This record gives sequence, C-alpha cells and structure tokens, in this order.
Amino acid sequence: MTQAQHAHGLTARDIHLGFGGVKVLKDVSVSFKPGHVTGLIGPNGAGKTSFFNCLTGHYRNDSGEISLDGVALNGVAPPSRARLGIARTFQHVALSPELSVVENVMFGLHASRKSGLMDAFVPLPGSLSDRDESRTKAVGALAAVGLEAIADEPAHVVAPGTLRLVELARAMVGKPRALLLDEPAAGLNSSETRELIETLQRIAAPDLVMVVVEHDMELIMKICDVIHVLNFGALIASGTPEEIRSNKLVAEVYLGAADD
Amino acid sequence: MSDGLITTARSQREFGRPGRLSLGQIEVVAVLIFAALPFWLSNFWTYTLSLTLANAILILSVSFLIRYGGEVSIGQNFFAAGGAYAVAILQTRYGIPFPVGAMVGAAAGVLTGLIFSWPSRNLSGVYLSVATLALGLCVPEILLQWSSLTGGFEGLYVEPNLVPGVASGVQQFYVALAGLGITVIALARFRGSRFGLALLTARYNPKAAEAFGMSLPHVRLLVFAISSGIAGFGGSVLAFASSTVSPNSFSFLTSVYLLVGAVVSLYSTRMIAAVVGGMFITLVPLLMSEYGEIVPIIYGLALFVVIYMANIVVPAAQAAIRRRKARA
Repeated sequence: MTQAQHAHGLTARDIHLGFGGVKVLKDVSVSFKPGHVTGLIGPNGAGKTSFFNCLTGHYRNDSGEISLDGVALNGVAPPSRARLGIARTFQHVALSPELSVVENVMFGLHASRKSGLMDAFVPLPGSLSDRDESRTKAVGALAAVGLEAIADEPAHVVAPGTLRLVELARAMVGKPRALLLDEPAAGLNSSETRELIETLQRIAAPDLVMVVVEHDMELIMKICDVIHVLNFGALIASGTPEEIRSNKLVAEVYLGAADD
Repeated sequence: MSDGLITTARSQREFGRPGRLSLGQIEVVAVLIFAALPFWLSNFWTYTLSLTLANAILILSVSFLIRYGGEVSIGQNFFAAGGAYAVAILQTRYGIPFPVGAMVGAAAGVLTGLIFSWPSRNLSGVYLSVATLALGLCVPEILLQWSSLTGGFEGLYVEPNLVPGVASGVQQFYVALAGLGITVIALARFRGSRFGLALLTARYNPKAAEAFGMSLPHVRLLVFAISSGIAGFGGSVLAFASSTVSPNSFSFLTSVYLLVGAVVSLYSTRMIAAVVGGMFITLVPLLMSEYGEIVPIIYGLALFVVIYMANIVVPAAQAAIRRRKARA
C-alpha cells in the first residue's frame, strides 16, 4: 500500500482513552476506507461509543492519532470537524422539537452556509437565495430517505422511528466525506429496520466513508463490507461479515449467545 | 424551563412560511386596528399604549433569551437603561435625533451583552440568573454615581421631536409601534436563518449543534448579544415613548416585571403575544393602582393561571382532541 492510499479516508491509530483509572480504549487502530460501510460491534461497555466519540471529537483521546484524508484531527473540536466533512447521528435522537422536519435537516448545512449575521435579520438578496437553496437541498435529502411528504411537519409530532431517518437526512445533506452512525436502528421495529437497511445501502457511495455502530446483527451483516469487533476497549477481530461470523473468538465474547 | 410550553406556543412557528398565513393575516388586521387607535383614544390612553408597546419590545428581549437560549435573565433593566440613557444623553447633550440614538442604544445593548456573557459563558440555569441579578441590581447605583451625565434621581427629559408639528403623543405612539414591528419582523426572519436553526438546535441538543459546526461558546454569546441588543433598543423606544428616563424606571423590579410579561406571552416572539404581555405589565398596575397593595397578588394569581393553563389544561385538551380524532 502506498503512502497516498494510506492517507485516504478516516484513520485512527493507537487510540488510548481512559476515564480516571478505567481504561476505555486500548491501542485501537482502525482504518475506515471510502466506499466501504464499516461496522463497529462489541458487547455493551466494549468502548464502541467512546471510540465513536473520539472520531467525532466529542471525547479527546489520551494518545494516538485520528486523521481524515491525511489531515490530523487531534485537538480539532467537533464544529471544525464538521467543516472538514465529518457528519454524525446520535444514539438518542438529537433534533430540535421546535423546528420543522425540513428545518432540522437544513441545520445540517450550517457549516457550509456562508450567510452572515446581518443576513439573519435583514432580507438581503444573497440570504434569500441561500435560504431557498438550503431548503431545496434539505427537501432532496428528505426525499432520499422517503420523507419529503412530512417536510413541513413540526418535529415534535413525528414518530421516534421516523425521526431517526430525519437525523440521517440531516447528516447526509451536507454531502459529508465521513458519515458516522451511532446505533441507527435503536428503537426501530423490524419493518423500520428493513427500510433503514435499504436506505443505508442506497446512500453508500464510492467516496463516502460510512461507519456504523450497531447492536442489530441483521443490519450489520447486511450492510457492512468490513466489521471491527471491540471487547473491553481492545480490537479483537476485523474482517468481512463472513469472516466475523466464523471467527471463534468473536463468537465466544459476543455472538455466541445470539447464534444459539 | 419552558419545555412544557412548546406545544402551546406552536402557533409561533408558522410565521413567515408560505401557505400558512391565516394567523399572520389576523395579526395584520389587529395591527391595523391598533394603529388607528390614537384617533379615538384620549391622550392619556394613547400615552399608556405607547408605554405598552415599548414594554412589549423589552419583553421580547426576555422571551428571546428563554426561547432560544433556555436561560432566564433578571438583569434586562441594565441593557434597557443603557439604551434609554443613550437616547436621552445624546439628545439633551448633543442634539442627536432619536433614530441615531436608538441605533446607538441597540449597539450599546449588544456590546454590554457580549461583555457580560463572555465571562459568564460557562454559567447556566440558576447560576446565570443570579449573575444577571447582580447586573440588574447595580443599575440605579451606576446612574446616581454619574449624575452629572445622567441627571441623578430626577433623570433626563426626552423631547418627542422626531416630526415637527405632529402632536408628541401621536409621535410617541407610532414610534413605539414601528419599533415593535421592526423587532418582531427581524426576529421572525432570524428564526429561519442558519443561526436561528443553530440556536434552536443547541437549546435542546448542544452536542448536535456542535457536531454540525456551531460552537457552544458562540451560541451563548449570540443569544446574549441579540437579547441585550433588543433590550437596548426597547429601552431607547421606552425613553422616547415616555419622554423621560430616571433610575426608578430601570430598577431591578423592572426586570422582574419583564419576566412576568414574558411568561404571560408564553415566550412567544409574535406581535400579539408581546403586546398582551406588555398590556399585562403596563395596564394591570395602572388599573389596579387604587387597590395598591393587592397588585402583587393579582400578578401572582394571573401568573399561576397562565402557567396552569399552558402546561396542564391546554395539553390535556389537545390530547383529548387527538384521541377523539383517532377514534373517528
């Protein structure tokens, strides 16, 4: 592998993270490639979400290096990571109940919109077209998850399962380089999960780094090209869904009970 | 603190969106009727309504802070006093006309708001409110300290001389009405801006706001700068509408009344709501003045009724309607 290829995508090298005396992540190195859907799995408390939060900048890793397309992200706060092209969803739906569905999605464009504070109060011509364009993009993102019909519904009357898709649209609308999904199927019923799988398969693109933390094995096995397994803060296996399925160690710590 | 009121203030969301104008149209008619009132009312009532409108702007500064920032300030009298004295001092000492004074007043509000919010950016909830209380309490002392500039206890007289030849009461009324209109329209526009979306996201999910490019210290500074800017502007308009500025009209109690007005208006940034809040804090003390002592009790009762209706009665009624619809 050449150096240039190595710098491509989202990479984490030798990540350590501890809270007080508790070691949450130990020496985790993972490379997330564009065009791949990468799954992060592991039993509860394995460090999946902590690792995820290191990638988004909400946690600061004690040591190790995270980079996106060769740009080091250490010490870069979440707002700046957003400008570099990292977008995420949350384990618990994190939308604004006071905004409409499409307005929530429009906020996903915040980092890329140029309109300033003056435009916020005074209808300058530039700001009007900026608002129209943003709305058009947001409706497009909603259409991609099949929700353009409820664009103008207030978010607080929309069902929780649907809100997960709205969050997905918000994360996608800015055409991110890396899309990080934190348990996208949590709280969804089986038919909603199937729809989510189809949607995620549609979204996957050759230049998009997609990372999914998930408990739902059906979803992980169906959409992922590569799966990494964490246990007690350490990476214990990496491979294709088939390889992970047949990995003895993984079966022992994680899949064993589920496969019976 | 206002989470329970979200559903009841649903109407406020629709302003400025195509296809749902009915409430906006009602509002336009109400404003037109309101604008014609000076032709019927006595000078006294025109003057009182001018104060109501100016107070409505100040209430919007509190409602904005609660709605967009989730924070309660009881120091808005500080920023309002800044705006009012800017107008009065510029006019009496330098002969500078009101519109310029009002802009200076609003800018002074923004600036002092930023100066206050930077050191307090890591405070929230009760701690922040207490910090604003300190701000509110120091206003009369500051004004009396610099009495050569501020006119001390007696304050300063502001001449309503914007349009020569027009009765001062009429000038005061329309300046106050225009000031409120500008504030409401600017806020309605702000809500749909990328910063409006950012603030309303940060209010409920700070981490989500960060994850999409809005830093949280910026959220805090922005909320305070806008809120105190509105307060400064409102103070300027109040100075013009009341013809006078004095330490008494900007005591800490003023901030408490503004908070009352904000609660009564359900933290809405719509014109009608702000005017209702303004009426509540301007007219109730006036109409009740002969009963003196019981005014605070009336206030307390009215507040209780509003909070009870907004958080319990109305949601229960809405739920009942939804159930009936679901059955049908």
